[in-house]
Amino acid sequence: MSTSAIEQTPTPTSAATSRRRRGALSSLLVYLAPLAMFLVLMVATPDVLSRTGIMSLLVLSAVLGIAAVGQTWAVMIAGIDLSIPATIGMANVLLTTLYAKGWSFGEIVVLLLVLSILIGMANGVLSSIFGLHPLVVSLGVASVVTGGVLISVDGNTGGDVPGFITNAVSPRGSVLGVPLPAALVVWVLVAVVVVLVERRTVIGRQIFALGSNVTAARLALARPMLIRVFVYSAGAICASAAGVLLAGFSGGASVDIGAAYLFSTITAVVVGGTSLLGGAGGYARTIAGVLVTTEFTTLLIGFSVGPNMQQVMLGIAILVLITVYGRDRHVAHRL
Amino acid sequence: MKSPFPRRAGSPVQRRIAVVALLAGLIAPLAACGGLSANDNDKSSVSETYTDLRTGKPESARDKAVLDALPESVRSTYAGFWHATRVGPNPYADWKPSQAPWKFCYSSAYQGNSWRQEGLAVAKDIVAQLDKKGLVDGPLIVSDANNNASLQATQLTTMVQKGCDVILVMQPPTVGLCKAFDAAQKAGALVVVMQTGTDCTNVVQSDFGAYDAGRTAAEWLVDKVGKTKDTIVMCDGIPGVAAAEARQAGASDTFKKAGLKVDHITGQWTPSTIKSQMLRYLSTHQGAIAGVWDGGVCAVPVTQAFQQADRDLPPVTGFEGACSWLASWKQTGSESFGFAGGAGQGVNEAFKVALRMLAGQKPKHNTLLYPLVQIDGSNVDEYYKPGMKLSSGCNAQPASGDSAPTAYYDDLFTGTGTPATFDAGLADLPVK
Repeated sequence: MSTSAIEQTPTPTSAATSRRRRGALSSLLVYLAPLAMFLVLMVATPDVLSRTGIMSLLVLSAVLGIAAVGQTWAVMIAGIDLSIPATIGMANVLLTTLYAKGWSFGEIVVLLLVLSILIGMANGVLSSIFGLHPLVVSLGVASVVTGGVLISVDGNTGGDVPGFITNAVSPRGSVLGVPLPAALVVWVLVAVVVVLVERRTVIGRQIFALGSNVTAARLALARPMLIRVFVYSAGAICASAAGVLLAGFSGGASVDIGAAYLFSTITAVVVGGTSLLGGAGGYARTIAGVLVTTEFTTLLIGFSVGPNMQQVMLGIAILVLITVYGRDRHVAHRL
Repeated sequence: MKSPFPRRAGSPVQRRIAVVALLAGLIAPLAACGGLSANDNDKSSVSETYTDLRTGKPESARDKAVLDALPESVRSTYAGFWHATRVGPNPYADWKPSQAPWKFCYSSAYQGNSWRQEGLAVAKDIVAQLDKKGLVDGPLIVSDANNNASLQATQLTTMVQKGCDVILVMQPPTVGLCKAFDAAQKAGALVVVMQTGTDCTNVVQSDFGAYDAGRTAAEWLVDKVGKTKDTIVMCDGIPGVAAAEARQAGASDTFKKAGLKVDHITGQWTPSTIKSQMLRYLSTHQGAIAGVWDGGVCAVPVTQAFQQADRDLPPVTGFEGACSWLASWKQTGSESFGFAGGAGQGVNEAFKVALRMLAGQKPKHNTLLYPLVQIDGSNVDEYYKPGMKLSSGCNAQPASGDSAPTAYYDDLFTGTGTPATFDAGLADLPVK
């Protein structure tokens, strides 16, 4: 009886298999893309094959990668986080101004953690209680954060940077004698934690559930507001970490320092193949996206492509990449 | 059997035609808008009186004629003016200044950084000094538009309603405020635009010669590197912004004349972007680099990129005279070249222009460009102060207290009224 039933419905099984194959192929392409792009970069500009050349790429990737944690999770719950640049700017300015005023680095970190969680709560609670789209909520929060920071320092954003932060983002920096920049080590640790949370914890699975279907997630006893607060707080903490690293990177501080990270974090997430519809993808894919975009922009500079043409090429590359492996249907429509 | 329902989508060919039509539909109005705006400029009478803003373009016969007609003492400062501004007659030729006390107003496009805060602090200080002489009516009225042109237009209108006699406008957008300026002018207010070029011809503009500054720094670099086949890297500002393009044009022309090979990075006047661009450039170009030209804010992040990529530091110019640049110079011991270009000196020069006009003098032109004070190996010790650090947000100020000596403006004004004087106190600005 059961045998005949299976025989009578062969189509769904083979369709599912072919879907799985397509999914596996798409994943494979995502993770192979950074390697392929590095080969192209190596062939086109062999100069990149030096320790400082590769470390420069990895440090740039590390800062972007840490900043992109929040965007990845926000997109996975079918939202978006436009407050990341403002949070980066906040951490950047507060670190330098407060450090110059004599605060210890530890005290500043605690303050940034508290503020990041407040930002995450504002994003998560407002988008849940009022049912507002996170795009609007995070935009408003961003405006409040930037304005608040400027009021608190009266527009004077100069200050001081702890020496070890400068060393952390130097391509020739080292950790405990190992010639690896601390920013890179931090990124690896962040990546391990983020991927483990996604794959091995209840809240991680609930992130996928919430992005797939809010009603179903609620019926499965997931609490949407709590998950949103968690996601946006984690994102704000990582954005603050990126802001701290950027203070060491450029020496000075600016409330606008994160501006470039709105487009680049979304690009990294999308190029990594995480669907903007939510419910699928993950941070491992974003890591691939970060590496590909960093390599690609380096390639363009290697070819001495002008700034306007760089924009055009980056746009075309994004369109090509998402056409190749970013066309998955929303999880809710795959059954 | 034929379906009774109309098909929802056309054939692939129809769809392609639809896409092409849609694209054409989008592009045509854009092209038409571009064409219209260009035609508007050509047809207006303003365009006949004032030179055109021709950012990034070579000198036209008309630009040359205007430049040649300027007094010789200012000609080199006005070189390449068409990249950043328009030059023509004084739009306030028929304006009669009111009697003191005057109400001073300060409209800033943005106040969110240390440079802008310094400018406002200097303006407040000057107004306080004039107030002691009984020349000021009420406190300085200040507005911050947070980079929103329409908000700034509204704020300007409010200032006119409050009876401002002089409105100093700090770095407004190049276009978009001409109507608001027009209303202010008609109400009898003197509008002085500071530290940027503008497309509006109904204001008096006070700015430094950006092309000349870019050229002078490039000439220093050319002298420093001598005859070489190595590359010069130009660290450019924001593409399309007139002030950035004017500096770059001055430098490009100089390097071209010297026969040097030039590469570009685009730092967008943002230290973190500059550093990541320079690191990427160094990663992909292991060949020797002769020197780096700074189009603004580049010196420190570029120097750090060389150090952190374990590369020999070539001569790197500065531009606006940031305290962090002077600290970096002291730290590396590598000689540089830049200008004392803080916002304070810009506000100082704008007040000098406004007070001449309030005293009844008339500028010969709408645009008043002055040279910046140069900082090089011979005078760096006058500018470097021990409190300056790589993370400082301040800027070096002219040691004499002025970018241009008062007599510099004599050739640019007519009339004999004696303007009120003040001490801008630039030397006393805090190092932070």
